[in-house]
Amino acid sequence: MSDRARPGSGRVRGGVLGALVGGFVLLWLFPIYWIVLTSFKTPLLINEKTPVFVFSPTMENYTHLFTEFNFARPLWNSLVVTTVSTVVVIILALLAAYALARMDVPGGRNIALWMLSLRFMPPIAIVIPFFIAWQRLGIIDTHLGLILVYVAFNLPFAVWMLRGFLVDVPRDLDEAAMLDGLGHVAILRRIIFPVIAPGVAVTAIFTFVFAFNEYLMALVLTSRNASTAPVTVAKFIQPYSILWGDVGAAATIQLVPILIVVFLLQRHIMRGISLGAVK
Amino acid sequence: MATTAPEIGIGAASQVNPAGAEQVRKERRVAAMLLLPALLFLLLMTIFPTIYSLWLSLQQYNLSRPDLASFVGFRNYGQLLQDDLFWKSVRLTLTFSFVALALQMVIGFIVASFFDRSGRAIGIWRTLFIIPVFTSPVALGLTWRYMYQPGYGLINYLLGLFGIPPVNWLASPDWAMPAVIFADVWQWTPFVALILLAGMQSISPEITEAAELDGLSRPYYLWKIVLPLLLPVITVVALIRLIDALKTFDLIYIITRGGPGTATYTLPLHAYATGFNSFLMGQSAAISWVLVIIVNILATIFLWLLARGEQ
Repeated sequence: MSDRARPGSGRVRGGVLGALVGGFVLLWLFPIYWIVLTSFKTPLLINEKTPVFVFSPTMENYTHLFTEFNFARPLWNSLVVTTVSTVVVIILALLAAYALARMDVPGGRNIALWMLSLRFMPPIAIVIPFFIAWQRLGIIDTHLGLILVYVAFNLPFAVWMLRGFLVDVPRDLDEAAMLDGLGHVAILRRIIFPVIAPGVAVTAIFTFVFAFNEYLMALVLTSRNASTAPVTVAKFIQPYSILWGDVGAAATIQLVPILIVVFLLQRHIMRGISLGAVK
Repeated sequence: MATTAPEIGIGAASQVNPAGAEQVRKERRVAAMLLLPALLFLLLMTIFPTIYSLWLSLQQYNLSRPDLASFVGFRNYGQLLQDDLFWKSVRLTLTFSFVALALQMVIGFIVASFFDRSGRAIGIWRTLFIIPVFTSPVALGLTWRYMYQPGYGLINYLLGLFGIPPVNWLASPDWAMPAVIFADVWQWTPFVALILLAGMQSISPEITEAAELDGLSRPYYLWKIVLPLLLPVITVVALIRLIDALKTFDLIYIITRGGPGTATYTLPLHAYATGFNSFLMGQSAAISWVLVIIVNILATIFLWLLARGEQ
């Protein structure tokens, strides 16, 4: 579909353009390549005036990261908070989106728009109330405290996105199932879910990535026990120096799950990205 | 977007026989049960902090002495209006957001048009291009900070190859803001480009073929045909990006901490520092409410433009 004729594009020029686009993308990604490379450099090489591209790699930054900063712990905190909040978001959002997209809900459209409008709220405006409330409730610096906030932040977006996917599923499918005597929950589970599984996966990825990368909330709502990977990495900025090697190692480690997910689900991600704006 | 409203249920609701009405009631009960968990949770988690934060902004509330908190009405807001740093912060927030937005839209459109033109081979490049969007702003911010270093940073080295003398980017009041904007543009242009690309690829083949037959030049085709057709998509993407830019905290905080001096001290950073460095929670809440108002005014203007464009 995407290789159909475009004005002004010949086949030969298409090939040249493809190469140009490829070169452009690789150039654009250079900073990521650079930080990954840095993670395998000794401090001497990192502070080298002339950039070094070929060298014998060292793992010392990674060992330093896990021994000195005990990075396994924030990484674990990040994974727990992110995974749990993503699962909760998807379950709640799937139910709500199904009702909004396929059932007769009075004011349904207003509810959907209200959820979307929550995006206008700057996190900084509501992080203080959470900080004070979580202190009083004794859930500051806990997984639970951060999970609750991340669910609230991702839920509106997830409902909106899943609703978009659900609207696309033909109605005949559930009408036929309803004639067979299936209830709504059974229809959602056995008929709809398999069809929109890629949409659910994409929504889950966006939710996961947002929570995994989030900084401000985690900075305010965690300190010693539940601090996440981004909060810990930001601490590598020290008064007189920045631990570039540790930064590189931590950045590389955080990049791995993202890269895997992007490649496994590339087609669906494009669809998810375009869903919100193009439809 | 407005056309995707769920029109379903109207048929069911208009049935007049009692059995149908019973059916509708039952369906609504099920719908409520499905919707309520998400709705109640969101109401609880948004209404409470919103009201509490508004209330805080009318208080004098020092985090180190919460017992001395007192209601001061609009005094926090009044003080802000007389504070030069606050106005500078407003200006910096708007500068950061609009310059970044403009660059992302222009570069994003151009990149998307090249992607659109080069056919199916771009699949893998399109996938790779999305990576910055999904990467942690903390890690990315530090990566840029490393590259901006005056002594051993890559950017000064590259400029040096062209005979340009080194710049201490993040220590210069003139260059810190452009440096931060550049990092934001780098992270978010792919997002804009890929959405515009999806829009371009959904333009009907008949239109593109007709343009081809008429022998339109590429720039003319993009300017006169693609741009008007994509206007609704462009407006929505611009709205999303503008709101996110106004709210940006992590990238700026990591790269400059608002400095040097207050050269990149945008409203989110101002609110954060006021609340968590100076412990003035009331002041901090007032600053964030000004940000809320700015976001909502700009979003309303955009949505109004979008609605007018659809007519």
